[in-house]
Amino acid sequence: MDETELIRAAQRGDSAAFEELVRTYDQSVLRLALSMLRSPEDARDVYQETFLRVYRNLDQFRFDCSFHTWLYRIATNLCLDQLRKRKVRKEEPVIVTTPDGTLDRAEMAAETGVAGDPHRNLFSGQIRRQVKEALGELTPRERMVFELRHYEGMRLRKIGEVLGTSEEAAKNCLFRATQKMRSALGELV
Amino acid sequence: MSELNCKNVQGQFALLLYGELSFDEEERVESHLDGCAECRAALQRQRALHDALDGVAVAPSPALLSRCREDLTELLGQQKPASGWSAWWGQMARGWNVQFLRPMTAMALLAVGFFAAKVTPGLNFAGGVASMGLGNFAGAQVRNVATEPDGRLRIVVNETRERTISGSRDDQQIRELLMTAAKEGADPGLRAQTVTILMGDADASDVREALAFAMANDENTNVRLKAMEGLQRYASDPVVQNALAHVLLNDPNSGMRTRVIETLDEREGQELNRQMVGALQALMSREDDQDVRQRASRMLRSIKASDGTY
Repeated sequence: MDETELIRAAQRGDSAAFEELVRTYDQSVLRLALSMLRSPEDARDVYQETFLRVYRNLDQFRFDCSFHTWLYRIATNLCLDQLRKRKVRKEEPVIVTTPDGTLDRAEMAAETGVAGDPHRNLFSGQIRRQVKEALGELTPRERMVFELRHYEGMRLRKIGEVLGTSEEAAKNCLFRATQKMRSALGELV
Repeated sequence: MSELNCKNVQGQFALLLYGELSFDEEERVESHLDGCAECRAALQRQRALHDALDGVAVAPSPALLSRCREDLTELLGQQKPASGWSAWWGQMARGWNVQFLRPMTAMALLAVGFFAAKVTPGLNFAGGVASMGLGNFAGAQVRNVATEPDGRLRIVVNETRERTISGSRDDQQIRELLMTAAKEGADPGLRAQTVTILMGDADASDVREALAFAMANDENTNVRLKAMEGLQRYASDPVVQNALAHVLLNDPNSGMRTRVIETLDEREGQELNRQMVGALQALMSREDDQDVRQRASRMLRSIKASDGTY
């Protein structure tokens, strides 16, 4: 069954079809939320709310765009809302160690006894810390565009569709984000 | 077509690396790069930054994903308790519980029963925590509280149960637990330990796959290196070669990349597959480490493949 058939089946109440849709996309939604928000609890909230909205509104999905775009539009809006709230509250949660074992690779246990290149690892750790700081300095939109392009591998045209803007605007946003990152990290690499 | 100056060209590097320039824009940038050493060096720096950014990628753990799915199931159950959706969400949750909690449970079992496996022949299941009674909620976590229509409270509690499994290394169930631990164990020390044990069973294809996964994906360099050691004699296996190619192009540690080439060097006349040759050639255009580049170049020449710029 291709995706269109799956969606139509899910709209008719086919449980297996809906399950397959969720399974197809929920890991990437969670990864995006975790990456953007750097907080497992907030990422869980976004995950729940995203799929709850999909569940409630699937019957209104009219194939005007791809399901992936529609789903990401919901998830990215929720992430952006969350980030904007934080900006207002001047909070910037970071990933913490939880019983879930959530990974923040920047904070992973030091790779002690690494064969070959301890200086490189030390240097990499320094870069990772500064990268995180630099990411925190981006505006929510810049952060989102950067996240979608760099980590999700999404093309700018698609990013424009997801964020409800033009490819050109997404390109400008990515340009600004990378310029800021380069300014912040240029001395390190 | 207008000429670009260095400032304009360098402003395009990020989009160039993301493959987001038009054909004409890319052509102009590359044409400038051909004649400008300063911009080529600046591009190298931009590429290093690009690679450094990969180091802060975040991956949700299977346990977090599993909890999210459980929460969603609960939430949707509350949304439409009487509908047909509820039933299938219940089925879905049960399916997920089995599929995603299995590795996590296995981890707990393995952590406890690991050493017993070495000394106790045959399989021996020992129930860990006794069935939970009222008042026995140590370590449990209340996740959701809801009021039922009859006024009773329904409380969802997450609890961790522990079991010990012991058996010989040949036992398939023990082996599966070891492979799960090697792939998904939360503690790098545990992953390194299980990988070391699995190295002795690398004749089995499923073990090689688990080692290849650890070599290509583990966050900890010791674990990756250990897994590569375990696969050293199997460099002709296509699964292993694909994983080695992945390490060659993606591993952030130059020691690991060097070790891949040494492993290939030691492969005793076995042919390299096309993907591996392609990976070596691709490496030539992106590798910063001079030593790794030289080794890759020598390797390519030894198999009469071009080491030019790609």
